[in-house]
Amino acid sequence: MKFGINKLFSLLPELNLKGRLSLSLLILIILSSFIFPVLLSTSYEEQNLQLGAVKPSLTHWFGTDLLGRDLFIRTLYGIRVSFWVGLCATVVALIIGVTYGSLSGYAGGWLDTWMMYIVDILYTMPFTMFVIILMTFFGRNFYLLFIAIGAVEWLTMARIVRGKVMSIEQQEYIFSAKALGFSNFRILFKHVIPNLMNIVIVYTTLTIPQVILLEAFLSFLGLGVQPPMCSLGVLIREGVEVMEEYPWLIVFPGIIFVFTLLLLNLLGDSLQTVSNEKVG
Amino acid sequence: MRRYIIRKLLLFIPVLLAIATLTFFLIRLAPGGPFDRDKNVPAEVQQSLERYYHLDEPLLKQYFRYLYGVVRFDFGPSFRKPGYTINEWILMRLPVSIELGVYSLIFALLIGLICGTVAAFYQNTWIDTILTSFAALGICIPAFVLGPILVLIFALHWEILPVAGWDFPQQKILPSISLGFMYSAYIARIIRSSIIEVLKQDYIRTAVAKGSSPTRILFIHALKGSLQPLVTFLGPAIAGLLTGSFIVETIFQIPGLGREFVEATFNRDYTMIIAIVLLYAVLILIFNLIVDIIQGYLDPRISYE
Repeated sequence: MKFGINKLFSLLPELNLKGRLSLSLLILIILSSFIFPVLLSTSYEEQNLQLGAVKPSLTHWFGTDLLGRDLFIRTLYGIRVSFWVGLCATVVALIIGVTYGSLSGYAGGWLDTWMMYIVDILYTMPFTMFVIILMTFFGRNFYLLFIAIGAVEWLTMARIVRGKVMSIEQQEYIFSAKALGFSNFRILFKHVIPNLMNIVIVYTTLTIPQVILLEAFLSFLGLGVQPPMCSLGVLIREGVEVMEEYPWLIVFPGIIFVFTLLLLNLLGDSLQTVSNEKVG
Repeated sequence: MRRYIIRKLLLFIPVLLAIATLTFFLIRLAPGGPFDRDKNVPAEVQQSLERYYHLDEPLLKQYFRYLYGVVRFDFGPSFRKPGYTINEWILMRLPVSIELGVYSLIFALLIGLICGTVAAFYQNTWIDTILTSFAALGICIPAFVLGPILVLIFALHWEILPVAGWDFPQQKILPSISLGFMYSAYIARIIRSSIIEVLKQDYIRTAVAKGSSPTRILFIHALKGSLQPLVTFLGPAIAGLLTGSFIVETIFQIPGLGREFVEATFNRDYTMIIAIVLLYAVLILIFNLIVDIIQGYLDPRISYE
C-alpha cells in the first residue's frame, strides 16, 4: 500500500477549501475522541447510578444516560468505534474489489464477461437481508460484522476498478511493458494497480460513510456492535427508546452522526473533483 | 424487445434458485431452532412439532420438499404464527409496506424534482447554494435519525401528529417523510447535474431562439431530457425504499413486511424468512427490468441485443 499513501499525500495539497475544511474537522474529531476521555478521566462505561439521567450541563456537556454514563464521552467513543468499523470493512471491500476488478479488466474476453455477469447478479440480491440473517443467526461477532459489510460493499469498487484497468491497458507504457516481455503478474501489480490508486482513494473515501451508515443501521436493529461497547448507531438506538423523557440522548448522537457523515461525504466529493481534474 | 424481456425473465430462475438455496442453508446450518425459546416443552410435544414441520427429516430432503413447494407458490405454514400459512400472512402485511413505499416515493420525487430543477435553473446563485447544501446534508440523514427527531418535534413537542401506528392518514405522514427524505436529496442532486448538462445541448438553444418561455424550456424540454439518470437511480432506490422500511416500520410500529422480517429472523421462523427474501428479490428483479425497458423508451439509441 506504499503507493496508496504516496498518492494520498500528493492529492491533499490540491484539495479545495471545502475538502480541506472537512478533512481538518475530521482529524479534529478523531483526535478529540482520543484526547477528551483522557483529559476528563472518565470512561465510556463508568456508571453513576445515583446520578441517573441528567440534562446537559457544564460538568456533563451532552448530559448523562439512565445509568449515569457521560454522553459526551460515550459519543466520542462511539465515533471511534464507528470509524474503526468503517475503516476495517472498507479495507475488506477494497481488497476484494480491487483484486476482482483488476483481474476481470486485465483478463478481458470471456472471463471478464462472466466475472462481470456474476457482479450483475450479486447486485440484484437483497444484501441487507442477508446481512441481517447472518448477524442474527451466527452471533453478533465483531469480525463477522466487518466481513459481512465488506462483502456487500465490494461490488461497486470492482466495477469501477475494472473500467479503469481497461483504460489503463490501452496506454503506451503497458504496450512497452508487454513488448519487453514482462510477465502478466508483474505488469498487473507493478504497472496497472499503482496507477489505479487515485480512483481507489476517491472511492474508499466515499465507501467509508456508506459502511458507517450500514453499521449504524445494523446497530439500530440491535445486530451491530454489542453493549457495553457502543457505536453511534448503538447510541441512537438507546436514545430512541427513552426519547420521550430524555430527548438529549437521541439529539446529540444523531447530530454528531449526521455531521460526521457529512464531513466524510464532502471530503470524498472534493477528492473526486481533484482527481478528475488531474486526469482531465 | 420481446426477446430481451423473455431472456431476462428466464434469467430470473437461476438467480432466484441461488437466493433460495443460499438463504435456506444459511439459516438451517446456524445453531438454534424455532422452538428453542418455548420453555418446558415435553419431549413428545417437541417431537410431534418437529414431525409436523418435517424438521426430523434429513436436511436435503427438507430442501427439495421446500423447493417443490416454492415452485407451486406454496411457502408452507409459518413456524411461529400457528394457524396461518405464509401466503395468508404475507398477503396481509405486504399492502402496508407497499403503501408506505409509494407515499415515500411520491414525497421523494416531488421534493427532489422541484428542488433539483429550481437549483439547476438558478445555477450558481444563492438559491442554488441553499438547495445544494440542503441536498448534501439530506443524503447524510438516514431514516433512523430523521424518524425519531420528527417524532420528537411534531408528536411529542407540538403534539400535532401521532407518535406511531398505521390506521389514520395523519399517522402516515411522519413515516413517509422519514423514509423518503434521503431519496429526495439524492434525486435533487441527480436532477440538478443532469439538467445542467442538458441545458448546454443544441436543442435547448433552439428552443430559446424560437422564444419559448423559460418555464416551458425547463419543464418540457430540459426535464424530459434529463430523466434518464433518474430512472437508472430509481430502480435500486425502489428496492431500497422497500428494505429501508425495516427501520421505519420498527420506529413507527407499522404492521408491514419489513418489521415482520426482522421479527422472523429473531424468532427463527424459517419459512417466513425465505419467503420474504424471495419476495424482495423478485421485486428488485422486476424493478430493474422495468428500468431497462423505460430507458429504451427515453433513449431509443439503447439497443437490447
